[in-house]
Amino acid sequence: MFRKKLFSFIASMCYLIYFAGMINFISLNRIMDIVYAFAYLSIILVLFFDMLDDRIVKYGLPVSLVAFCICRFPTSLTFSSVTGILAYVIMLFMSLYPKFNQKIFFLPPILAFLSQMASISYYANRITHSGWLNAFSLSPDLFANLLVFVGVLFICLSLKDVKMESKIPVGGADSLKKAAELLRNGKMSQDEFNEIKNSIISK
Amino acid sequence: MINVVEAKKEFIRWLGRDWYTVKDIFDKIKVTSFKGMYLPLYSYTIHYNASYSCDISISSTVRIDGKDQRISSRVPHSGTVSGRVKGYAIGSDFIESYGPERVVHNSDTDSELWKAIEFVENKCVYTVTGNELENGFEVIYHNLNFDSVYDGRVRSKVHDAVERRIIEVNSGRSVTNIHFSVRTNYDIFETSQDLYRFVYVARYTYNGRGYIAFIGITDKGLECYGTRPMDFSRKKNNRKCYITALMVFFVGFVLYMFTAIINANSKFASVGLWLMICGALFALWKFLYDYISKNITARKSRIALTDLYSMYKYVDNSGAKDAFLAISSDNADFTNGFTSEDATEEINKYRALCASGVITTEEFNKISSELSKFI
Repeated sequence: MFRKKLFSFIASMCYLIYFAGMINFISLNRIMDIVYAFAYLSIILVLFFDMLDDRIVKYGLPVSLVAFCICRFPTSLTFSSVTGILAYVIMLFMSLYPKFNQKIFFLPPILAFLSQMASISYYANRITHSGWLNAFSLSPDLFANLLVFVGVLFICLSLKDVKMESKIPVGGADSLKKAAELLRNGKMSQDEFNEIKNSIISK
Repeated sequence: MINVVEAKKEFIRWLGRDWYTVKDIFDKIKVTSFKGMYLPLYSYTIHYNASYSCDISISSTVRIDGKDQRISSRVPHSGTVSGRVKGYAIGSDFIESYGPERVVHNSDTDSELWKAIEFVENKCVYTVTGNELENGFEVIYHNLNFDSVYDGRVRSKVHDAVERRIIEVNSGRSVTNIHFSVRTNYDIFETSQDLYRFVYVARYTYNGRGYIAFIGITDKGLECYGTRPMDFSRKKNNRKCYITALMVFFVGFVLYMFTAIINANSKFASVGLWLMICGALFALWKFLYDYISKNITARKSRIALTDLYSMYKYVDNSGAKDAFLAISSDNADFTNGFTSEDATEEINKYRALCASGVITTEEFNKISSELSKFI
């Protein structure tokens, strides 16, 4: 659990730094900017306070990811914007259906990476006409793009560890095995064993 | 009336409610006894007569060869202080004499033990109702151990009195090498019955080492105090986290200071500033996380059905089985469920149990259909 919460904290820090860099460009007169600010602020708070209770991420993260999907909605079909929105849509899906998280958790970081690289190369091409490799030395946004990628990566790593509510108690099989051993050794009566077995199975 | 079941529940809750309690406490704990006891509260008066000796440095200025020079000399000083200390103390000789394992003594557990004894003496309130015997406790009279009373409660007071006297007599001078020897005589009275303390005393072992806990009723309800095995590696890990936060903060600070002097708008300066903020926030987050885990998560997850077997060992003592069943239904950890990997592993374990005949095929099918929802 600590690992999951630490990943959430690192992701929240990445978003915090990114958002702090962007705050000067936000105008509260534009509706999309308000959604943008809400999305970032909510994701920072939700991830930071993941330590309080698992339900904060469970209910809070989908809300902020919906806001992300709205404000990232592509106005033109560039490679960067499409992969960007796709990463957030998959993350939204992951937060709603944690069942598949372990199988698809690597997709959003890859998409985010491609999106950020494409965006760097796009700007670098426009500025220098000399290919995206030069972007590493030229693009002022590299640090910011890297932060978004790292943020997405750590959100997904955190989502990978999300546990789903179960009717069967955690570790029930081990307990039952040990109880059976006690029964065999005569340290526990059959009634007591049945009582414990029912407390595991019949919930 | 303190219900024995409630007392045992409080004891188990207390075991899992600490920052540094060992993680496998419920796997290795063995409760050797859990008894209700009347502990008589004795009033004591100790008359002491302490003779002390010390060195006092006296410095003076003398003129040698036309120059002022400070000379300090040491003068022995001695005297006597007498007085008396009055107080109440429970008979605590049972801590050593009662139970198969000796209670572990080290600097950490001793302070906890003193807190627990103070809790019984001062906070624990209880009115005797007369039907305690039905609830499985014994009336055991324990004598007041004079040495332990003197060591724990009086020695520091005598020491303070001696120091006060020396400072009074030699004000403004520095004092070294204090030695004192104390002659005492004492009166101990057993107090009237309404000053008895009624507590449950749990003796338990972890890895073969003995520990003790007191469960008593206070104004706030049931409370438990005592000694517990501590996980010092977790303490060390926590320290590592704070040191990391401090280092991040420090690197950021150095980066910021160096670059801000050269150029305040430099990118490195802002990176430095952010490192400082991240370091501070990490320390804050870690502190809050620990604080919250201590108060909420530990209670929720550690007393889970995972610990069923180990608790059952504890439950072997009469009356505790009810406590166990009550706890497992109250606090069973159903919210922190499975990831899909966990669920696959768990199904395999149940399959093995089914093969060895512990559960029937029907029961296995029921469980696996429930668990396969997560896969």
